[in-house]
Order: sequence, then structure tokens, then C-alpha cells
Amino acid sequence: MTECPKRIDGLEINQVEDGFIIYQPERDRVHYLNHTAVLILEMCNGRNSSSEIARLVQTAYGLSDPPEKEVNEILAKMQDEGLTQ
Amino acid sequence: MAPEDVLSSVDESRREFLKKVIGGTVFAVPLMVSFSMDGLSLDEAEAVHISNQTNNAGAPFCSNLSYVGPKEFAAYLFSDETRVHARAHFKVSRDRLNYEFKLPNGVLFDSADILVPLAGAAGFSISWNGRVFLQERKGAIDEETTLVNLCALNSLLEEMATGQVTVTLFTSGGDTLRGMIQPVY
Repeated sequence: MTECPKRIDGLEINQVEDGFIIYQPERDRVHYLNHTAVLILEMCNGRNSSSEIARLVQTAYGLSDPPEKEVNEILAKMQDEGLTQ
Repeated sequence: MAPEDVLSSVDESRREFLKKVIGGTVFAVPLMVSFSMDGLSLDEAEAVHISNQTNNAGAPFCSNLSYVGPKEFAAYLFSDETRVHARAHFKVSRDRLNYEFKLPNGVLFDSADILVPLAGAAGFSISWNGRVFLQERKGAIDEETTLVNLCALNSLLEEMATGQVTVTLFTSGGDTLRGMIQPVY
């Protein structure tokens, strides 16, 4: 997985009732993300490492520990799906 | 670091959007469900509307089941977190879709969500109009249920037959199990 993942430019994120939808026309894929996943995707600016992103999520939601395992898993999936590089 | 400082870590152009994302929410395990739209062409998306009447919301509407296809479906549901698994079974019966979730001993059903990716009327705009929320472990989905959720039962069944529909089960213990609904031949 990329050390400091970067969100792919030009992703169109649409808010729906219970989450967010991203459509990738070039891959003909549609992705449903909940709000935590969208927050993590937005943190992927090429400067934040996965550990830093986990710490930011911890701060954003007032968690006792950084959710590193969850963040690493979703980052791996985002990279697999071509949402980050 | 204060929660608002999190916003300073993202590009300025995205801060307003992110305020909306974080605002009023609590932490949930990050979730991403991806679907291929292969096979759902403009022609097919329009065909759903042509073969049925359309209600004001733009969702396909029909008064009787015109669906022709597999009558039984199953989904194997699994939690990556806790390895808890379950099985869902669906069976078409006249004008309704009967369903039942089978869970391991000691695991209790809380609710379930059926999510259907459907193309919009133009074929390009994606709308999530195929969401059916289930509050019982066993029951039936009828046209009234699906229309409340802006999705016709015919369309739900057609999408289930193509293997594009996911089901998410929430247990009373806090587990989230997911799986794809597949036809049983």
C-alpha cells in the first residue's frame, strides 16, 4: 500500500440518504461509502500517512485510540478500487 | 489537536464538504461497497421503465409481478471483523418475496439492508433507489415495502437475478455481516 495515499483527482462524490456514492465512469464502477470512509478518503492528500490518517480519525470522532486496523483495511480497498494512488 | 483542526489537514477547497461529512456523526467502522456496472447498459436501464409504468419519483412501478427469472436466491453473509457468518434465503411467491435470515446460535438479528445499484432514468446518473430496510429476521417484501423505499419489487428481483444486490445484516451484538445475493438454480 502507498505510504501516503493520494485521492484520485476528479472523483465525484454524491451524498445520499445514508452515505455517499462515487461513480467511476472510466471503470464502470460504483462505490458506496459511509461517512467515516469518506472522511478517510478526503484525508488522502498525498501528505498524510496511514498512521496520521488514523490519528486524524481518532481526533475527529473523539476516540480513545487511533483506529489503525480499520483505516489500513479501508485504505487498501480504496487503492485496489483505484480511488487512491 | 482539537476536532476542528482535522479540517486543516485537508485541502481548503474540501473543508466545507468535510464539515458536512463529520457534522453530527459518530464513528462507524469505515465501509466501502463497490459494484461493477457491467451489464447494466442504458438499454437495459430504460427497458425497466418501458416495461412498467413509472411513478412520480421516477422509480419503476407495476401493480403485478411481471418478473420472470430464478425464484430462489441465497446470500452468504460474513463479518470480516468477527468472522461471524449467516445465511439469507429468498423465495418468490406470487406477489411477494419471502425472506429468512439464518444465524448461528447466540447471534441475534437486529436489522438488515438490501442495497440495489440502479441506473437513473437517463442511464448515467446513479441513484441509490434500491434500498430496502428489513426489521424482522423473517418476513416478506411486497410491492408496498419496496415502493416505500423507491424501488419496485420487479426491479429488485431483476437485479437480484444478475447478482448485483448486496445484503447487510446487523446483529444485536453490533456485528455487521455482508454478502451478495445470488440466484439458486
